[in-house]
Amino acid sequence: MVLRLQGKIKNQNSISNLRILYIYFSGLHAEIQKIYFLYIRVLVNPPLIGRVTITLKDENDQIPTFDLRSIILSVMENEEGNRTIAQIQAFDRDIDDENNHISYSLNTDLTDTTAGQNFHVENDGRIWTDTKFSEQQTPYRLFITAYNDKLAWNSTKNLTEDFQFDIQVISNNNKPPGKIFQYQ
Amino acid sequence: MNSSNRQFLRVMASDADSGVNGLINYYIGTIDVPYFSINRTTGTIILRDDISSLSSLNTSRFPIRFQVYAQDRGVSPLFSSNNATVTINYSENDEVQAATWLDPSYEDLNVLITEKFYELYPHQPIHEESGFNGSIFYSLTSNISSLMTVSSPFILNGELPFRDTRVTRIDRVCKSGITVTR
Repeated sequence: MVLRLQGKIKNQNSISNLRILYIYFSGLHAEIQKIYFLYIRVLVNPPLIGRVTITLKDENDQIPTFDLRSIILSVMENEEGNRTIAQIQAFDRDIDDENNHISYSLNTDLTDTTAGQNFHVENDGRIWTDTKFSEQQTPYRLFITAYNDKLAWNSTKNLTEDFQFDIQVISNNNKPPGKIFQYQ
Repeated sequence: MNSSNRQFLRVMASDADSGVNGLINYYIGTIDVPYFSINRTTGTIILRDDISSLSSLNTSRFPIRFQVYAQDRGVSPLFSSNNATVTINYSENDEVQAATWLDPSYEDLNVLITEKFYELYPHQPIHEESGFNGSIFYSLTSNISSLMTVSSPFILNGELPFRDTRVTRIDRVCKSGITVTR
């Protein structure tokens, strides 16, 4: 039995889709099969037969998952204004919408204050900035948590996974090459 | 056929597509089939509405044999590659059934359970909070016991997450149920 899923990571320069195959062989998972049709049969002659339809209720047991756990991105120096620099996306194998809905937030425990002040994370995984950067800036490192709004089926905790994000500042090509010397 | 009910058999096909493309309609593919028709959505073979009772049937027309085919409800519908052949025989004497369900609801049972049933109720037969309590009773006419089995027309037993519960017997009444394996 095969379940196909798709993860996505997107930044301003490229969009790549990663297709992943998950294979389960057995077990009771609404993610594999939601409705089972069975026969119950008493082994007399002729057999006594009943039909049973079992419907599974999806529980929030699948964890939001990133295909990639980290990425390095660049921002240009001297750019201004609000601008989105990336959008990250995790997936969740639960089949009910309320169980597979994923939100994103900055992990403020791991992210240092400077990085947290310069970059903002929206619910939908968009990361934006309105800072004007200079070239000498050291790289920033952000940690972003993907989580289900709904609590895990058997606990009072959220199901989460973190993503590590490195951002480096690169310079514009605004300086011409130096003078050309001619040798004789 | 020897019972007084009007439903006889259910034909089923599987379709790997989901949504409308996976929904299946069933049709009889033989012309001039007497007495019987098919429920297009469930595949159940039924006595036609204009037939008042089984006693009005002409027994010389039996056995009645016909083909059933399946077609999905996609935009360009696909037909089943294999048709099912149904043969209906007429049995004069109303034989006593060797086993009967104690509750007629076991003939067509619908159960809603959580996918975490095994974790929540280990080694208990599937049941609902209010509704089906998990026990399936049947009575036997003979002193010899008979098992109840659980199977699926689409999934091999080894891959099916359900099993029959060990049978217990008091006099001529047996009790079983459906257990989740994992």
